[in-house]
Amino acid sequence: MSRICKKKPAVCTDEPLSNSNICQKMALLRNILSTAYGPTGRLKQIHNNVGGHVLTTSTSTALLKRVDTSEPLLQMISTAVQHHTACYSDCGIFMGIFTLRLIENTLNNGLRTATAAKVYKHLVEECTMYLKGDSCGCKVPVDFSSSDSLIAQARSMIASKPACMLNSTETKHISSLIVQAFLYSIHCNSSGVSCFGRTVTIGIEGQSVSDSSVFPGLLVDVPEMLQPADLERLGSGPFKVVLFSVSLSGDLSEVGDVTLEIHRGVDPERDLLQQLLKLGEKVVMDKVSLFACQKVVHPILQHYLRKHGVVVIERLGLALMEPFVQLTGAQAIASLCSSVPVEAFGMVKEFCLQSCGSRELLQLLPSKDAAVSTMVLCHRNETMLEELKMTCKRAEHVLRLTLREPYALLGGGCTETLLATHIRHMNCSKTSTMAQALCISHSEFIMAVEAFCSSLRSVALSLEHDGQDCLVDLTYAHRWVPDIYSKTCSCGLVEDRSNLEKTPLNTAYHTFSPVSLINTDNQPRILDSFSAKLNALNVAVEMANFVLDVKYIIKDIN
Amino acid sequence: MDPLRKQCSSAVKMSGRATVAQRCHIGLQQLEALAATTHGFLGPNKRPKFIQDEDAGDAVLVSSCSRLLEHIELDGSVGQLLHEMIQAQQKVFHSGTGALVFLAGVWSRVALECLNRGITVLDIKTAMRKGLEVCLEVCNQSAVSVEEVSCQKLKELKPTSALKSENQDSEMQNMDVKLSQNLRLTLKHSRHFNSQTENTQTALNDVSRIAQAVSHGCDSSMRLVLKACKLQSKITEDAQNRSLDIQKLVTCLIPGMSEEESCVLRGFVTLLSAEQASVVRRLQGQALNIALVNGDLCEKYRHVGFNRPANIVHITDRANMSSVSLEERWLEDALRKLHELSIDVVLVSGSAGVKLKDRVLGANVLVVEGVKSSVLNDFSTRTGAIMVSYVTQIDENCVGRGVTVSPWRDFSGKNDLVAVSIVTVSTSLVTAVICSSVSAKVQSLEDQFWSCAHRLHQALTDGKLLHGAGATELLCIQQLHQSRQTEMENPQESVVLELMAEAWMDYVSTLMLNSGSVESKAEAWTAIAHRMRLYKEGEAISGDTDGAGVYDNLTVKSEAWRRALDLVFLVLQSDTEIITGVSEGEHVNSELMYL
Repeated sequence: MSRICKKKPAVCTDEPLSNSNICQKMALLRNILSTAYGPTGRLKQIHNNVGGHVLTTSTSTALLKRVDTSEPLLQMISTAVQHHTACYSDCGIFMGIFTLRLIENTLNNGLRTATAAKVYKHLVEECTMYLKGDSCGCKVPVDFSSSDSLIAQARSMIASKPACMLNSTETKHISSLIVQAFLYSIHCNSSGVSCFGRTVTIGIEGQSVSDSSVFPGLLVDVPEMLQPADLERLGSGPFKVVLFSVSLSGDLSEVGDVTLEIHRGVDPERDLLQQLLKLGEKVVMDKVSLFACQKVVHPILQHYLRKHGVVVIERLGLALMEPFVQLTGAQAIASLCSSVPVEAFGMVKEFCLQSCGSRELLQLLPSKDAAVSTMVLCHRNETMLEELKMTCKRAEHVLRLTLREPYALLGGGCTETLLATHIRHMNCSKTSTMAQALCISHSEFIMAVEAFCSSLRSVALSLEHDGQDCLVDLTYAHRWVPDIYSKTCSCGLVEDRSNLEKTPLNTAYHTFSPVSLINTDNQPRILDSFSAKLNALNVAVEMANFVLDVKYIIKDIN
Repeated sequence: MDPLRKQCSSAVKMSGRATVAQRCHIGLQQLEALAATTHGFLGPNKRPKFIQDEDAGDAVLVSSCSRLLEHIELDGSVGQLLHEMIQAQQKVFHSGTGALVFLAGVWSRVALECLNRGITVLDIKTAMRKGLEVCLEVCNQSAVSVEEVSCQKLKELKPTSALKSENQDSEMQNMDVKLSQNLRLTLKHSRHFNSQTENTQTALNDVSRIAQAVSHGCDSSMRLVLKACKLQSKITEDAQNRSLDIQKLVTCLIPGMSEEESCVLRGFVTLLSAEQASVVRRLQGQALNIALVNGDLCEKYRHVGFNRPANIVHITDRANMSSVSLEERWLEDALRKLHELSIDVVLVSGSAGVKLKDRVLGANVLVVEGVKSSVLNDFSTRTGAIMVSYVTQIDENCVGRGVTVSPWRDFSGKNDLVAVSIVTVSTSLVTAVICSSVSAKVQSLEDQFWSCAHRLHQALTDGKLLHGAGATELLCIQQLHQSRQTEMENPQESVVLELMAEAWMDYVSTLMLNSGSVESKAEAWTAIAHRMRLYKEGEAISGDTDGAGVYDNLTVKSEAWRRALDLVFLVLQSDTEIITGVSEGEHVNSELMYL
């Protein structure tokens, strides 16, 4: 059926950044992100308007995925942040705050957008050069000969997500689990090109965090009808495995959304079931011990297989398919019509039952070197478990990134203050040449540099949520908080001394070149991902320049 | 054509402090207010509440936090979080929700007060976490083993005041008498007795005393649990194994009969219609064959995951449509199958088709619908029956044997229902029949039964109990005071610990007020202060004098405390509530900002 209605004309907004409503929304999003930043960041409770489940989070990935906005510019920024975190797993909030601050500072200073964009592009290139260079004072090499710096990095990530609700012992336990899972994911004896293994994460609600652990192999829910005696009857492995990705429920869903004409007297359901049972017969003849399916297996087929001593795992789910393939070496079969080719069979070394708190799980151990492990995370309630699961996955990913670029950046806001101080110093000394090279005026260049550096500093300022002052020292340019108990800067690298001059971070201070720290025994306590922050910095500037460049928004309201 | 899509955005509500100067936290205030509504549920004398639904015009009677939160509409995120937290506790323990909600409320007040005094969120978190550690340590230190508890109860040799009124029950009374006679014997000998019978007796006596200790004023419900426990251990003939298998417990609710009629029966008892009961009468006294169906028993049913194709057109080249319908054919197949394998009883987890139910009556087959999966599992292991999804799937191997059925009681005069019991030889399945003449109370009684069962089960699993009636909490107050004096790392910490001690005072005084041992909270505070003074002078701390012999579960309590603090921290650290899927201008609410 079709209906005819008059089309409404499109709505056009010109100069969207001079629209106060849009600016207000931008400030609101920035406020949401900056209040959520860091270990003392405030949590956001997200729920729908019909009383659904409440998500408590301060993670940009979870936050931005759930929160939708009516403003295309904001949606664009949100999407860019989500893309960044999908690839790098860290520094999403950093990117969001930095992007929005750059835009705001440009507007507040009345800078011409094209000019500002030019300068920002130049500055971010300088940042990248500095961070990648050897003289960079913000990075430390990751030492793979000990687990300390890996654990420090994992711990920094968990500690920066307060909704995980862990105390210090629990944080320690979980960080070491993450490193353990990371190590499990690297093949032991690989030569040449090799790829990472898989870490599967399972959450168990209602159990204490200390019950969490990492297991080699794959853990799946125990099939409903499987008794411990059935496993004993199987004897010792290895066992032959077959894996199906096609639904074996015996329905006609494979034909898709079409109209079927069925002759009376023909019963496609019964015929399909016959086909399934034939398949079962072949599988039993092939001496398969484990029959796994991504989707549902028809109960009658299950019954048949069980009767012949085959263990059936159904509803494996898409997420577990790849780890299962890696573990067993089986090829997923997408059709139930042909017979199973020999090379499609896989192997499992052993089955055993593991009980994790209240839940019984079936552990499948690989027959050869397959770097598959399962991280079982326990927590007392759903919303905290969700955040913990997400944070652990992200932390493990960040550790993987260090293999590509074996560096970590100083955390706790020290990288931002140091970088801002360095960039400002570099560019103040060569203002005229730079302004000339970029074909802009002297003062415009200085203002743009200031806008850039102040945006960086404001990220460091966002780490504080209790109204305390944030300081920067005038020698090393690290970030400090006035704290009677702590004798070091935020990242833990610089030790306090009486003659170390400090000034509030949000006030003007003279330009200086940060002294690089040599001969220190201190190890940084907080480490951020190098790759993630570098990418976030670049994408943030690109996004800000892009948004500043938008002249019209045209909305189709039909 | 695409339906008209509404542009959706998210609305943002600031629930935390917007600025430092403005020191109030709406979320914490909400939590405190919500919790205050449940204060009447604390302690043994629960004051039930009526919740009225103005739209539907009906009302429900609730007497526990989980039921209350289930029935009230919670639109804010704080209420939702509280609800989720309660459900999680209820799911695992069936107990401790009252303490959880109460503490969430008073600890919210502590956090609010701390914010007022300018303590940072981080410091509040650190100090309160430390306070909880102190209290959990108190629990671990002061926990007593269940063996000690049963000896303690022996010395008292009198039923607790709450039990006195319930003394009509001869069984418990008899047991007490027997205990006094066997006093010396039981104390002298360990439980590793040679004689099996005496051993059983001792173990059961132990359990009954522990049950009394954790009955929390629900004596009649606990009596049912105890009977169930005894019945289970009699069946398994395993006296050493002092446990209660919750998985093997079933309840059967019968409104309209007096509460005294409540009892415990071996096997699976359920209410059936008068017609079905007549089948039972005919099958009575025979060893029957059984089939277990996981799903619905009708032609239309397909297993989970089976997608029905949407567009199917049946075509035919013949003009005469005399053939029987699919349903008829299925019905014939099903009945033939039941007949061929001489199946007498079918337990179905879902429902059965109306026509089938009619036809099986004539074929002398009993079909019972809506059977819980734990019951099906028990019948599967005891009779050797294999659960199937389709009746047509049943073969010789799937049929279980050795089931007997018998009518238990006939209520046909009242509501045309008959209670029927279905039993296998070796089953340890036990059904608690819960009756009440006030039908609104049946639900509460069932909840009570389950919470008693879980408390006893937990006590036997933990092997340890805590002194109840506020005694443990008094120790917490004492310990918080002490650690305040010793450890002064952070001056603000002492403020927080003091406030937490006050929160416990509130808890204990509410408990005393609710249990009727004092007239007012002020009186309770004086009594507590007095007892704390005595403690300083070296006397052992004890709870309410009326509450001697009342014990709480260790795990349940400490988990409830942890969860309560989790909740307070979640809310304390939240500053924003984001509501998704609303469009701008939909709500005329000045508090909301739109993204």
